[in-house]
Amino acid sequence: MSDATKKLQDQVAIVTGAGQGVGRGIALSMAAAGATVSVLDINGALADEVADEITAAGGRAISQHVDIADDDRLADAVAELIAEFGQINILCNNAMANEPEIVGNDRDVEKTTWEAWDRTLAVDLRAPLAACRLVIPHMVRQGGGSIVNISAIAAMYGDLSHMSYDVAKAGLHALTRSIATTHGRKNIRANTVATALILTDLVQRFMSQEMLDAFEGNWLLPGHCTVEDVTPLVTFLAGPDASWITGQTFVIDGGATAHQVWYRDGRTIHPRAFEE
Amino acid sequence: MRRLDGRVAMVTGSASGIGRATAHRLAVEGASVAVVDLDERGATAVADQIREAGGQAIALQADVQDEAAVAAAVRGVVDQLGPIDILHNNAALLAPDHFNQDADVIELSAAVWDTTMAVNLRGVMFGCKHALPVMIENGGGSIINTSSSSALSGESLRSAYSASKAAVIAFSRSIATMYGKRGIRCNSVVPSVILSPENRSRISPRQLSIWEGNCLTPYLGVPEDIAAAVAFLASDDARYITGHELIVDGGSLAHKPTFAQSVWDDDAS
Repeated sequence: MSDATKKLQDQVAIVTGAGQGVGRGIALSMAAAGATVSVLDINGALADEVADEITAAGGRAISQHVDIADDDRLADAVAELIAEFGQINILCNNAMANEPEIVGNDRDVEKTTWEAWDRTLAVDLRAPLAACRLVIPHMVRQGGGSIVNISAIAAMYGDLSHMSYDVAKAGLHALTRSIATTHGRKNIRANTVATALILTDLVQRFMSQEMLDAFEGNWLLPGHCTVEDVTPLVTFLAGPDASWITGQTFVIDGGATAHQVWYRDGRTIHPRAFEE
Repeated sequence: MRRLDGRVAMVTGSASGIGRATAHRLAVEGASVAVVDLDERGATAVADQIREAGGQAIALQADVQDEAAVAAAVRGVVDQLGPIDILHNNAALLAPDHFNQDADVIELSAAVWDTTMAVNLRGVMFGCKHALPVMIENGGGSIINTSSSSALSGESLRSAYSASKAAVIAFSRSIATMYGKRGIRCNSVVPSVILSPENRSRISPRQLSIWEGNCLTPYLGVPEDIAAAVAFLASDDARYITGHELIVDGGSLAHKPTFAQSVWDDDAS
């Protein structure tokens, strides 16, 4: 079928960490746009569910059960996709290390454990690079492709915790620009999407109302960011409407990084507003 | 440190605040300083203080939105001190009766907008326009323009001020690009909250605590912190730095917006 709204028709996409949250949303969005999606996740049961959901809605998807920090398994997954579909047009590096014992031990420069650092860097930075190295030769052979890396504003602004995560994400921005620079003339585009807090199921389950309220005071827009706020941007960057966009970082944060630091809850207490 | 021996510096808006601190600092580093301000008595007082401390200074009155006045001030500096090596365009319209009218955009008057631009932006242009020929003739120079963190992140007040200060950054880059090969360096200095004696007396404890909560340093900035950055940019230590905006803000712009709340830092000590 040929539907003009199906911007990713006849394309094959890999979305890592697509078993839940933002990755799941991206997989659903790309499938709805016509792509055949590899729902790749460390949790096979979750990946199966998302692939089934896509298939039930009339889309095309396969579930791939992979820990992306495992080079061999990742290579097998890419080989499997090529054997099945003959091409890979889109790679969305979305997976992050989210094991509680890793995230919980990624604190600051003094407290972060080496185990947390190593696992975070392996999953959040080395694995995206590994995926790019596996996929890019196919993109070159096909005449092009689009890579979208999912990052966070923590890559650009300091925070009090998750130091390894911040470092890995900052590295991802540099990796994106490197690929955009070296492979642009081979028609491979690479962009980064940097998000702030997103109301995923996990966030809703584990974050206290007090913390959510603290975040909300910094959004310029009402409410919180949902998965569906982010996925259209990712699908846009993956597809032909973004054909001249590469090497860029797109911040999607409800304006959290656009305002002065003393902004709270829709108003500013300005340093020179002497009369309160 | 005396990095500016034998140099001539002109600092606008230097009867108070950041400009005054810069005038003192440049003089301490050896420069002969022209203290230029709309407030003639204030400028004279600052120049007197500099001379009493053993430095060289003159005071000149000028309204920077008036091109003839800026041109006359530049001539006055050249006549009395010699060719200008350093220009710090610092004058800005901060008088509370004006500043507090730069609030809601829906109620913002064209007059407030125009006056803001005339002083904060056009004044910078006039300073450059009239000092540049002198500097180029003299073999080069360093221009430092005062911007603001409001230029880099949004306010829910002071849109005219913020826009004028963002334009100062763009203008500085243009100067750096146009005249770099002729020996001119041009940079912006970007302060955030600065506790000058003038605003220290007027702020509420609540405002103070909000500012402190957003600084990464254990203290808030004072005019001397900006003066030190300006002296560096003015000196040969910064000879390879041009077209840059130097943020001097105690890290206010470096952290995530949620930093000040920090409610989840369960083991913060």
